[in-house]
Amino acid sequence: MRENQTEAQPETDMRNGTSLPQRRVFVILFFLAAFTLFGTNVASAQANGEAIFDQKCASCHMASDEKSTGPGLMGVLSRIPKGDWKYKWVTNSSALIASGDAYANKIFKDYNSVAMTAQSLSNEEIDAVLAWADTGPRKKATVAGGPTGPVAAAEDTGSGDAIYIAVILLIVLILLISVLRFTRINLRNAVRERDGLDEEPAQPFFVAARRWMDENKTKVGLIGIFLVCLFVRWSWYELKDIGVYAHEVKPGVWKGYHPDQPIKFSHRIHAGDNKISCQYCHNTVEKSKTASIPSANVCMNCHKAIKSGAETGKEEIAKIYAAVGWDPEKMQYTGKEQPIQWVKVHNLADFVFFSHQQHVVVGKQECASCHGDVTKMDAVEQQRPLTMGWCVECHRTTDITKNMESNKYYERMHENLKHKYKDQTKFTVESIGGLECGRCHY
Amino acid sequence: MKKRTKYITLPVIAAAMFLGSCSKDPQSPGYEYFPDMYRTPALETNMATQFPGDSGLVMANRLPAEGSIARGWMPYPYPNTAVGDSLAGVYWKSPLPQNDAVEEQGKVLYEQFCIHCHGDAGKGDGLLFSNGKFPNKPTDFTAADKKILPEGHIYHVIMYGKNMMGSHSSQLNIEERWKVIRYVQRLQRGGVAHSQWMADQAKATADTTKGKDSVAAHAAMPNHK
Repeated sequence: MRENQTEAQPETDMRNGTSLPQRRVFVILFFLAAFTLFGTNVASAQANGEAIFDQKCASCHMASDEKSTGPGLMGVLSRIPKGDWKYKWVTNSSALIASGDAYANKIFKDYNSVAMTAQSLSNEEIDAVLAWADTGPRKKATVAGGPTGPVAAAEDTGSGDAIYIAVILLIVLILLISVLRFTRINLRNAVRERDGLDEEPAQPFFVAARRWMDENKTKVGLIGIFLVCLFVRWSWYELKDIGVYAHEVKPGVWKGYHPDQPIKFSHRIHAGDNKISCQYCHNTVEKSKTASIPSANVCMNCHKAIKSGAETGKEEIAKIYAAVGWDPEKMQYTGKEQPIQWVKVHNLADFVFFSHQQHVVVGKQECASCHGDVTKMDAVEQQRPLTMGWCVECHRTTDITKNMESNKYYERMHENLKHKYKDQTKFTVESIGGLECGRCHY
Repeated sequence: MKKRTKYITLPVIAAAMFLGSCSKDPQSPGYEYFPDMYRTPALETNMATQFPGDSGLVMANRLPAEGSIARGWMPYPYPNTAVGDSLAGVYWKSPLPQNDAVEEQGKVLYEQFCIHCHGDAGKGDGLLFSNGKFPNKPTDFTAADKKILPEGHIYHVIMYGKNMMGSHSSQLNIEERWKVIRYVQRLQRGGVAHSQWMADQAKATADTTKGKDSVAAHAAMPNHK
């Protein structure tokens, strides 16, 4: 096939370039032939190299200038010693290091003294993969995909904005009233002047206002009713908000408590798009009272490699590095740690006992039944009221008949219960004492 | 006159109700009514606190005093080196039996802690890699050169991490690690459950007695008894 191409080339060139001196034609032919040969070589090497890279190298190397476990392979051929150093290194790096080779030892030391796993590759394959990776960056470094959703949907205008608008309206209103008042006084005086009367005696604003109120009792009454209703409505909702951390969340009217967090961690990206299970990070949920906030080393399981986020770039991930003490340049821990101060969203009063373990392991509750659909939230928001009424409601209605059958630990107790409630086919948490005061308050 | 007043009053009340339903500050968790016993004086998990001698706020969760050992816990004796890895491969053995029940428990854990990178069949094609977010290819531990590796080696990798994989020792306790390993071994057998695989082996042995060669079957799975 290659030979066919090289032979086909001269014919066309001969036809086109008959006027050229013969020697020059040969030179051109030579280059064309070389190029065709070389070109096909490169092409096949590239295809080959990519396959080998994905299979053998991609766990530790990037086909760009970014470091991971080992150095990025872009421009590698210009860095390493010439000759068969590369073959020796790839097939048995430990031996090369042991032989005292200067560059091998430097690389070994630079990458945390982790020896490269010996690869069983032929010299041709090594050439192919290095040639392919050398001219990188071949793969997109760390930014994966485009933004996968709206970038932090614009926050709804909170009550703060409403207050500003009200204040501005009030100022405009006062200005309008005073301007109109002065216009009115001036006009009236102009009329009196025309009629040959004296100027009307100046009347203080409040006296005038009072006189107007005396004359327009209905209007004043209506405004009064309006203000009273406003106050009653406002205080009603403020009262409902009292009671520690209790929130009545009305979709579309109020948003739940969703405070800003020190790192713009998005549950939508992690638990939603990437489908990372809740337990990967909150891994004590089945063992402990608390579901636990993951320590930053859990973040590092992925973010050692994923250095920039799809939506916030490097800024937010750098905060993890700062907290855990990681130097992304040297790929090393520095030992300077600073805990991240996350803001707790789902709070219960201290006089309530709540255990995640009981609810998740024995009660077989899904995370979402109390925390809402976290896979759609950027910053976590409290979507359930977490009030006692809400707890009791669930304890009254949740059917635990199936759970009782599958739980051997409580077998005897459940037998007694079945004896006690002979005619009952459905058991709720209430039947096993879930409404006793001491169950939660002790 | 009275009728007119009524017509005006009702819209006024309605307007007041509408304006009064203002939105809530998302940064505020609400008011505390006589905040008695709402907040814990004792330290809870993940709280921030300051002890005498601390320069600033620190985690309430503290590491136990150096050298303290929890009951029932055994220290892992092998260091995070290539030599430690080899030693673990030879000497570090699972206390759990290989059976379907353990594998099923391991599967639950595998789906919580491993599947995102290693994929549902262990081919290293989990969602995080296949959607392009994780740049390095996770290990395909079902590959011919990986599935012969001993269970002690897998434990060593979970304990310390390897290459771009981080240590998962803070997320999985000792027993859970061995459960995961049992499931990983099932995946290395091609996802065949242990009982099924034993039945197949018995059949293969029976075939051998009839004169067929079972060396190939053994060579395929030298790792599993």
